[in-house]
Amino acid sequence: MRLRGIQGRLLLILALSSLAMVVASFAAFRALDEIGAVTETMTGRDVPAVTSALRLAQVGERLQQRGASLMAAGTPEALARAEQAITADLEAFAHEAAALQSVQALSGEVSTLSVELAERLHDLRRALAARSVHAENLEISRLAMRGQAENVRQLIGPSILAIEAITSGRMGTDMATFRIAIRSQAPLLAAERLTDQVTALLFQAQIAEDPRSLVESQASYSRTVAQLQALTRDLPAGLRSGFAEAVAAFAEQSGSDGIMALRLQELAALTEAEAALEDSGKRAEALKQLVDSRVIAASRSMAEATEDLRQTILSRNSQFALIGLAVILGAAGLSYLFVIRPLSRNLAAVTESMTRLAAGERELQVPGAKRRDEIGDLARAFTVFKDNAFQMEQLDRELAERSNLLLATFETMKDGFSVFDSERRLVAWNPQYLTHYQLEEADISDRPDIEEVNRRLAARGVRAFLPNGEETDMVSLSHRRLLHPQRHELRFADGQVLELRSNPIPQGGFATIHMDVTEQRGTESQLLQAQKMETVGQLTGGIAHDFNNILAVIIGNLNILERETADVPELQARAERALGAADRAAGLVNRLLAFSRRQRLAPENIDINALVQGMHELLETSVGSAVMLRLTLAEDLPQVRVDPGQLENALMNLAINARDAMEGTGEIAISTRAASGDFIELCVSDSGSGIAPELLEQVFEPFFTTKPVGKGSGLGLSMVYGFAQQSGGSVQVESTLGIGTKVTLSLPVTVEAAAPEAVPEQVGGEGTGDACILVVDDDADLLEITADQLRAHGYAVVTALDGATALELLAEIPEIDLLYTDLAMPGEIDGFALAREAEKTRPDLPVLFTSGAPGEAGAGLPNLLRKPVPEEALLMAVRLRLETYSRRTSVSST
Amino acid sequence: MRWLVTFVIVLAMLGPAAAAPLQVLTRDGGPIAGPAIRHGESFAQARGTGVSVIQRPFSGLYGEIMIGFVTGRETADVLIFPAAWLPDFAPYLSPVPQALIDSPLVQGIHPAYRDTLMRWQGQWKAVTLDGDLHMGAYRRDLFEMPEAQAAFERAYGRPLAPPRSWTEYGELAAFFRDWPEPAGGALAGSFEASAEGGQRLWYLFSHAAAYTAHPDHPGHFFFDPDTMAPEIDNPAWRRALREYLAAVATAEAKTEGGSGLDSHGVRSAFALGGAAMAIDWTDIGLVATDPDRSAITSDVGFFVLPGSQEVWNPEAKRWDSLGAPRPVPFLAFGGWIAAVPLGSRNTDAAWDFIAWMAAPERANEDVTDGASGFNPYRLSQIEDFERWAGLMGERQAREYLGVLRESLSSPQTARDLRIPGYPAYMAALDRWIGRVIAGELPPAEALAGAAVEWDQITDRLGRASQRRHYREAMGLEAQAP
Repeated sequence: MRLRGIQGRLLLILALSSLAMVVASFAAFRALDEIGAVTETMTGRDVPAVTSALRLAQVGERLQQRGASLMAAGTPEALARAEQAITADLEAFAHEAAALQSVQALSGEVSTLSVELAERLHDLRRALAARSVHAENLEISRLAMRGQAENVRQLIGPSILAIEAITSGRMGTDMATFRIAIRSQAPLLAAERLTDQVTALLFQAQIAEDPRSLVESQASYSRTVAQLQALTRDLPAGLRSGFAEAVAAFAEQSGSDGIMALRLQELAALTEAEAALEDSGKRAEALKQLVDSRVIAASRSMAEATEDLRQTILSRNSQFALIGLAVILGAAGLSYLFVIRPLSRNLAAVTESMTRLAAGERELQVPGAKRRDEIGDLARAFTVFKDNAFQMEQLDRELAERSNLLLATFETMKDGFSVFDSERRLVAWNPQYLTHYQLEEADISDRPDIEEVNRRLAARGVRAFLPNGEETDMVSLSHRRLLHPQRHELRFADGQVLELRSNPIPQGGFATIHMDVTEQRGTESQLLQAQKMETVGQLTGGIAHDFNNILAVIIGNLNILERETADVPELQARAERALGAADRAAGLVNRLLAFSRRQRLAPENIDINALVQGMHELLETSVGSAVMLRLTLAEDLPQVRVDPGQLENALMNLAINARDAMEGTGEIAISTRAASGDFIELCVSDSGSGIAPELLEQVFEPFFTTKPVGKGSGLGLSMVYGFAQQSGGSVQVESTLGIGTKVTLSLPVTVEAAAPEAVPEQVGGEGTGDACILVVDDDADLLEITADQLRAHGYAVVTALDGATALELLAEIPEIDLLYTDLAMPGEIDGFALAREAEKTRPDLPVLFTSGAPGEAGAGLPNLLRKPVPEEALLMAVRLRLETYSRRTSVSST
Repeated sequence: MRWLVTFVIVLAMLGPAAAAPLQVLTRDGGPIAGPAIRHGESFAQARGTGVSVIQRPFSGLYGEIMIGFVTGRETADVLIFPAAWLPDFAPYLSPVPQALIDSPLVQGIHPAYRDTLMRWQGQWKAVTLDGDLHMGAYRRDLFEMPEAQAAFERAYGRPLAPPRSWTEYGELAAFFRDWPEPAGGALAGSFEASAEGGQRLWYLFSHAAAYTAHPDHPGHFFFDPDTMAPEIDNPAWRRALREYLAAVATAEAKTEGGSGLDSHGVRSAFALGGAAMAIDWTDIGLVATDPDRSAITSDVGFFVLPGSQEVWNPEAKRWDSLGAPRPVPFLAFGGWIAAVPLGSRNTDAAWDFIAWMAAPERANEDVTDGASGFNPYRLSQIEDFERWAGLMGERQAREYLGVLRESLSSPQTARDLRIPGYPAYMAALDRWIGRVIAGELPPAEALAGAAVEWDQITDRLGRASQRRHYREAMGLEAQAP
């Protein structure tokens, strides 16, 4: 501790003040000792004397009122209570008088007066008790007389009422009875009147205030009773005995036990009580005055002692107050001189420095920094604080810049961003988060927890999926997001897809980026669908090719059988039926080829409206009369370039599908319109049952059908799909369950002037050939059949199973007039290569191609026969080809 | 003289020592006086003492008896009068001989009539000859008519059946008022007496009994049993009076131009098929099934007096609802009793005649005679099913006796007023009701006027004593021993 410091100075001042206070305390102890002595005198002598005198006065005052209480007591119980109170007061009076005697001498007059007062109060009590007994007897008699009056009314009342009824004429009696009634009612009415009078006189007697008026009432009463007694004999005989009993009871009331005598005795007792009350009142008053003088004397003595004590306390208080004031003033002066003034000056200087620092002044010197006391410590600490403040300000500025940058990034980023804290409540989000979830600020202003967010999403039909496509529940996902980085998708009912990438944060909770991948997922889905359809197409095309080869063998054999069994009609008929079935199989394979876009199209520039109108009647017949067919065709449409036969086929397929979807009744609408990108749209919509969303992607797949077993092949829409694709267009299906389905074909518009349609060359009738034909096919069975068919019509045929063998045969046999080759063959030399090689050595050699699945390579070949090749078609094509070359050769040779 | 029919039986060839004939005073007409005459004849033959029956109109009978008492000029040895007058006459009557009290003749009387009607202030003063109570009767042929049943159900939504409440009774009366009499002519909904001097008050009392019988406040029928303030002007009585007048109005088509029916007219007119229903003393059962007097002999049904689901709460001054309508039978009028005045010149013979007349063998004949005016009052009479079945057929007898038994045993059966001044109270009320029937006053004003008169009568007779008697009459306190 520094003695020269502020703390040391203050302790010194405090020590001096404490010393002064110790001195003053000694003086105070002396003063209190004096006051205690005076107080002891007061409490031992004066206070008991005053207290006893006051109590004595109170009891005396009560005794003065007790007489009136006794008089007012209306019942024996009240009288007994009042007497008990008097006895208690007298005992209390004696006790207090003895107490006062012990501290202050009392005269014997008090004792005498109190004894006399007790005696007079006792007299009063006795008189009142007597009066109470009389009053009780009076009440008994009164009730008895009231009963007698009621008896009289009960006795004579009905007779009076009966006679009144007669005399009033209400009873319809004769005149004689009427007169009798008039005469006979007088005694009854007199009896009623006198009974009322007797009752009233008795009442008067009971309330008579003095004996004189009572005597007067008694005389009147006796006269009335005498009248009643005289009246008895005039009453009806049946009433007399009852009436006489009542009158006798009335008469008794004039006797010594009657109401009159009882009231007289009650008045006498009352007079005696009033005298006793007056006497006791006088004694009580005298006693009170005596006691009051004692109270005044005791009070005066007490007042003198109190005044002495007050003076002593006042003088000692003044002395103590002066000493205390001097100590306080001294301590305050010293404190000001040695502590407060220097402290104030230096603190003001430091405050000014802080103010300047707050105003931004950097170069300032803190005063007092070199002092060696607490002020110096403060100045030096402030200097350090100033330097730190400068550093903090610099850091704060840098932090604000980084924070603004982060905030701008946060708010402008394309993806949504959210943060849930350790209690899993949403604490931060950017505007894009609200946009992705179609929320308003108000929706999440209550900072909902993740469970609440999940509930809201579930209510909107949102489902969660893991990256592998497996569906998961959002609750367990929320737990995992707290612990590990998570990636998942939310799929909304309207098709929106959000990808969420969550990362736990060290303080607990997790932050999440919400990316809208709706468009990306749509593109992926379309790509996947296209790849699937392509794969299916390739697979289907391959199978169709093989089937066509097989069918060609079957059909060829059947043709031979049919021809060879002409003389056995039953066998020929069977061969024909087999041929029919094989032809239907070929038709199905053709549809597969159409789907796989390997059919051979014959595109033309056509007016699509004319084509639709041309089919109108056929379509109406096909869909049935219960279905309404409505055409809405846009005018002035450009021509489209498609195979009209295939388009008709497609339109018919779509119409039949629509009819089946409606179960026979409803409406099919066919419309055309121009679409963007040089396309024409042909729409076929129905009002049928619609297709479930999960099945929409499969409708183009071959053999997929929603129709009952045996009702559809499942190739109709596949063919339409393949046709549209192969024609450079597309097809879309839109469907709503319960509303209907709409299929839209987009077909390309003709972009160049159409080439003149080739006019098929006319060929003459069937004939037999004499040419030599080289037939090439890797299918040995088909090769054999084809050779047999040609030989059967007179052609010489050589065969080869591959291209190399064929080339060898061409070199060896110059008589070969025509090459008939399959396009697709194993090995290095397929049909095209063979034709090219043959042309090198035999440029004039006519070539016919055949293929089960010509594909794009064969699409433009005019001399291609598609398997299975009907025998007639083969012969026709061979002959046509041979003749064409023959003419060409002839012309060139001329 | 027209109203004075003296029937004197003098024993044939009476010797010079024969006693003077007994004078019997009662009301005029076939009922009551008829049996007295008939039994007087047999008494004279059996005992040798002649019996002369003095008949007075009912409206003058009370005055005649009372004026005799007051003047000491009593002319009768035997008085036959309504039980409710006994309190007024009691001081003038001789006591019933103890031997008669102890005899099976008195002990076989139903307690409802014996213990309350024959004594006053503990003294046996009379012997009952009649057991009165009100009941309902209806024409079964109309109630079982399919067309009526269908029409009633359509109109009121419940099956056509005898009424359980006064509300249903009013609806039934209104329905049948508009229903054509099958035999042609007009049909009354219901018959109730409304003629002056025709005992109409008791029909009103039957209505009021149901509305004033609050289970928690017994004894508030005519007066407040604590203050003896009249209850007859409260809403229960006003409703009872309105409904009584409405019921009477349903018979206007049958009484048009007349002064309404008296009680005898009610049972006679009903027996002729004039109304679908009637309220009356039990005489109506015998009259309506008597082939000589009835056109609907086998088509009569009976019902206990209707009740009410709503009862007036005299303390809370409001209507309280019970769970269901509760029938309240009413011992209307009590019955006719016989007594001997103190001034009788031959008291023993007088009591002998009363015992003769009340003997079961004769009483049984009287109560099964629709013209006697006497109704069953002995236990044996109510239990003698064979006798009643022989008179009115089994089904009707069963129903009739069922109503009697239920009415006498029901805990809420209402008793008639039985206090001194009874005729004065009745006369005052009847006068005011008469003004209502005459259309001079509305019901509420008339009942309020009657209540003021009742208060005056009570005060004149001593309110405390009247209160005691009323409480005894209502069964709130035991009778004086």
